[in-house]
Parts: sequence; structure tokens; C-alpha cells
Amino acid sequence: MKIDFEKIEEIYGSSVIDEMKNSLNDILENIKYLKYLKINDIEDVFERYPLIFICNEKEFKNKINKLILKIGINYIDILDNDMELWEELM
Amino acid sequence: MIEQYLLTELLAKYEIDVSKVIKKNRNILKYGEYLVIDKTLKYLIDELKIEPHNIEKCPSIMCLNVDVIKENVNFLRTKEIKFSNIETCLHVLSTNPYDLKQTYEYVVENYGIESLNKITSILRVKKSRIKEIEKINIDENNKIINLSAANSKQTVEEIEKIVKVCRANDIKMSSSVFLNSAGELEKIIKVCQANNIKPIGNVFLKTADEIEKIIKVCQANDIKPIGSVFKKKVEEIEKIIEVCRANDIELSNSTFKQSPEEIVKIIKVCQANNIKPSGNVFLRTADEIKKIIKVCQANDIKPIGNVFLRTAGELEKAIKVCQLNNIKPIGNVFLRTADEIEKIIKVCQVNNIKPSGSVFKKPVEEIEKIIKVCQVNNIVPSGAVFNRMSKEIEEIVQICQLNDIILDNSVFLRTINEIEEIIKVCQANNIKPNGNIFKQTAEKIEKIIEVCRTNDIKLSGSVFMKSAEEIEKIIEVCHIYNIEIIGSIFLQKSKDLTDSIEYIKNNYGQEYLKPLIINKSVKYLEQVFPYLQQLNVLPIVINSASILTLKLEEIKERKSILDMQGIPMVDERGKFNSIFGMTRKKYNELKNKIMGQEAFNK
Repeated sequence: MKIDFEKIEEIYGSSVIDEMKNSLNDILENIKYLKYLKINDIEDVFERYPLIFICNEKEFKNKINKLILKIGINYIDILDNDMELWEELM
Repeated sequence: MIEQYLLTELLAKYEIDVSKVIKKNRNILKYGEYLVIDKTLKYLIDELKIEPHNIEKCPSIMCLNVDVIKENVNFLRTKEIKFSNIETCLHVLSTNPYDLKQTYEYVVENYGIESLNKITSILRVKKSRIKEIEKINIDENNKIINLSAANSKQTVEEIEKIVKVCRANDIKMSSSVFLNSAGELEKIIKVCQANNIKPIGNVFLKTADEIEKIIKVCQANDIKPIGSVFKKKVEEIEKIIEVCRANDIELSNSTFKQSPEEIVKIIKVCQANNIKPSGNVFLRTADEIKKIIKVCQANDIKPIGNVFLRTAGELEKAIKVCQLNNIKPIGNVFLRTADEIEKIIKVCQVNNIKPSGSVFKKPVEEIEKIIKVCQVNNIVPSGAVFNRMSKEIEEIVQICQLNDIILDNSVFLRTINEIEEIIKVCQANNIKPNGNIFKQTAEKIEKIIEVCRTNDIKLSGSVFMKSAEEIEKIIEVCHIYNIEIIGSIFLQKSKDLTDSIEYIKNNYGQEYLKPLIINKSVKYLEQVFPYLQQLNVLPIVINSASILTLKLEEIKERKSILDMQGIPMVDERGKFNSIFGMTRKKYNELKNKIMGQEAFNK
């Protein structure tokens, strides 16, 4: 996985990068969960909505599961085409 | 006997500083013999690869018959003791081989190999002395103190008196209490009590008189009289303070590890190499720092932080081991020697663990224990787990099971006592103690809860990422401008939020003060807002802010694809076209399709 941290810093500022460093384990687990759910282009999701990943594993799973229940069975396709849906996790 | 000029010539051959040697032990000139020294150094440096600075610390070894040293080395090499500990404690090699073996076997049998690795110099002490001191029964809960006492210069009778003084004054038994006589110890304790200083550690390096003078100097200069300060004479402390103040260097424990003259040299070297003169840098002399910088440059490593925990030679070995094993030579890796790194890597490979970062916080024996405990309790051995000892982890697991707390990594950021306090606070406030809550202490959690309750803010995970004061500031800023408070807003600094809010309010108006807009950096908003305004689409971001997760170049590129097809940026729903909401992969697929069609049409 190759993440453009410069892009994240440009859009959100350096303090977000510092927060990420403090939550590295949580972030990695949360990314693993998205991989498990077969979400496409996780790098892009991470670069555009990094703040949603900076949370405890259990909390993240709860939020993702709620979102997927709301979207429905075609969640992979839908999320591919409408990144705005990730804002619900903010 | 050896003439100084001959000794200088001889030691230079092995890169040993003769001035340091003579300062440490002038008797070298009296008792040293050229051929004996040469033979011994050849063995120590060329064969055993002992660092010259370790010999400078223990120069008497050079005068010894190399055969005695070889016999001791050959014995110790077959044993479990870490040879790197011997390297920094060379005088043990001068012990009579029979006595060394006796002591080794006795200490391993009665105290364990870990104790021997901790107090390696005990190998120079006769077994009979250790046994005599054991009869005093210093501390049955801390057997290793017998070795510390035996390792000191005090007689058995004096040790008995020291123990009595410590017990009478409730002083924790440690190796440093045996540095002084019982009488002097009593005086030291009185001075410490009178000045509200804990009588522990380096305090015992000085006499009571010296301690009083040091305290006065520290108080006059607003410095805490603790730690390395007590390793220096009063005059030195005053000079160090002067040098640091003249060069705008923050005074800390590490700044007192060197002489004032050495600090001046260190500052020059740091300035010449664009290194901040602070922290671990002062663990090394200026010469050593230059060598370390060379090693770092040769290996493309930043000369900062933990690299200064190692000498240049140790650093090179550690880097080689990292390179051979495909590990990034940075950060916590340098807490360990090359030997230790190799052993840790092996343990990690056997247990299928990535050897990175936090794994190097502990010595290999402890890591093995931690891994076992993790396996038994189904815990992933990574991250904060290595902040704790294996025994602590077991206790934490128990307390979490009793209180139905999820065992994720953040729990191990706290000690068992801290966790118990956090549980109390959570129970008192009807909160489940999980996740980010363990990033704070119980005291800070209470303050955060108070702030959130006062402001009617939901206690979600993100509030525990910041201090109570910072949360108050964020809440205040949001209330002033009537901005909806969502969880992720607490992941930003209040100052950054304020900067973005001020920019938007002053240039575009309060209607744009939405949480998903203000959480962007002011630099980014300064680029993107004018561009969107120019296109007359800026008001759309109020309800459709996801375009603000793309860089300006990305927005322009996606717009150009729309322009190619004559499609407006804003659709009939009054939102930005879905092209701005596609993932990068999806967008690239679309772009390639369109570009292909364009090329075909042409």
C-alpha cells in the first residue's frame, strides 16, 4: 500500500499526521478491516478521509458496519462512485 | 615501566587516547611494559574487537598477562553471559581464572544469568565475600542487592551499618547506597530531607557537603537538583549552566553528562552539521558525535535521537545487522546493541512477528516472555504491548477480563495501577473503559469528562485524543461561530481550526463555517476557495464538501474531463458532478475510456 502522506498534510495540515503517528496500530487494524470487506482503492479512501481511520478498532468497525447496512449489498460499487458517503463516519 | 612517549606511540596504533588512559590510571606508566601492553592490546582490539574507549575506561587491563585474559575470555564465551557486558567491564578479565569460574557458577546458580548480565563486574568479587554478605540478609525480596553490596568497596561490617541506616530512614536499598560509609550516608539523608530531595540514585555519588553546595547552585539557577547534576562538581555545574545559557540550550539531565569544555565542542559540531544540540546528543563527546555523523551519512540515516545512544562502532554494527535483515535502521532499534538486535530478529522470525519499532524496547529475554504471555492470552504482540514487562501484561489481562475490557493495544499504554484508576473513574461516570480512553491518565479523563458534560458533547473516542484544555478551546471556537461539533473535529488542533475559521469568515462569510470545511488546512483553503469562486461554484461546497478532499490539481484535472464532454461541474441536484466523488481508480478508468473515445473520434 502506497499512501500519499504529502497530500494528506497539504489538505488537512501536519497535526493530522502527528495524530496518525499516535494511532498507528488502530489505523493498521482499520485498514485491514476495509481490506477484509473488499473495499476498492483503500489508499484513496485513506488519503481523502484520513480522520475516519484515527479511531479505535471496535468503534471503526461499528461505524463501517452501520454504513454498509445503510448502503446495502452493493456497497463496494456504491462507495467506489460516491466517496461522500464516507463523511458519515466523520 | 614505560616512558610516556612510547606509551603514546603504542596506544595511537590502536586509536586509544593516551591522555584519557593516564588520567584514569597513572600507574600504567609505572607498571606497564611495552611488549605486554602491545600483546594484550593486539588480542583485545584486533582479535576480540573491543572498542578503544572501553579500554580507556579500564586501562589497568593493558598491564596484564594476555594468557590470563584469554583463559577468562575462553571460559566466558562458552557461557550464557552477554559478551557485550564484558566489553564494557573489562576489569573482570583481570580476575584470577579460578576465582572467576567459582563466582560465575555461584552467581548463576543462586541469582540467575540475568543478574550476572546486570551486574557483570561481580565476576571480580570472590565467592566467599558474596556468601559473607548474604548472611546480613539485606533484603529478602531483592536478592540481587547482595551482589551490589559485594561489588562495593565497603567492608562487611560497614555494609551492615549502611543497611541499618537505610532501614531506619526508609531508604530503598540500591547499589548506590554502598558508595559511602554509614556515617556519611546519614548526613546525606539529612541534607536531602532538609531540601525535599529524594535520597536516591546519583545523590549518593557525593558527600553531604557537596550535595548542599550543588542544591544551592541549582536553586539559584532554577534547575531541578536531580539525576546527572550530582555527577558533577559545583564549579562544573556553574560553567555548564553558563555555556548552555550563552548558546540558548535547554538545560536538562543530559546536559550535565559532559564537561563544560566538551559541551562547547559538541555545540560547534552540532551547528556545523545542522543538528539540534539537545537530548541524547550530550551522551557523547564531540569527537564521538563526528564519527556518528559520518556513519549516519554513509548509511543515509538522520543523525538524531537514539543514534547517539550508541558509539560509532556500535552504530555501524547495528546498521549492518539491520541491512542484512531488511530492517529500517531508525528509532528504537538503536536502544539495542547489534548482538541484541540479531537475537531479537531471530525470536521475531521464530514467532512470525514483524521485527520493527516497539519490539526493540525490551531486551530479548523479556521479549520472549512477552510473546509467550501474548500467545497464551490471544494478544497480538505488537505496539504498546512492548511498553510493559511480561508480568505486567499478565496482570493487565486479568484486570481487563474481570472488568470486561477489550484487550486492544491502547490498554498497554498504561501501567496496571493506572488502569485500575481509569476503571474507577469510568465506573463513577458510567462509561465503558475502552479504546482511546487509555491514551489518557485517570486524572485527565476526569477533566475531559467534565468538559464534555458541561458542554453537552458526546463522549466518543476522539475526545480522549486531546487534553481537556484543548477540547475546551475547540468547543469554544465552535460555539462562537455556531459550528456543528462532530467527533472528528477533535482530531484537529484548536489553533489550526481557528486559522481556517478566520480565513473563511474574513474572506467568504460565516455560511461556509461547516465542520467538513474548517477541518482543512488554511493553506489548502487559500488555494482551492479562490479557484472555486472564480468558477462561480463555491457556494456548492456548503452542502457538498467532498470535493475538498481532492488536491487543487486533481479538481482541475477532473473538471477538464467534464469540459471535454461539455458537462457542467454542478449537476441538476445542485451538487458537484459525481466525477469528483469517484475513487482515483474509478476516475482513471473513466478518464481512459473517455480519452480513448476522443482519440477514436479524431
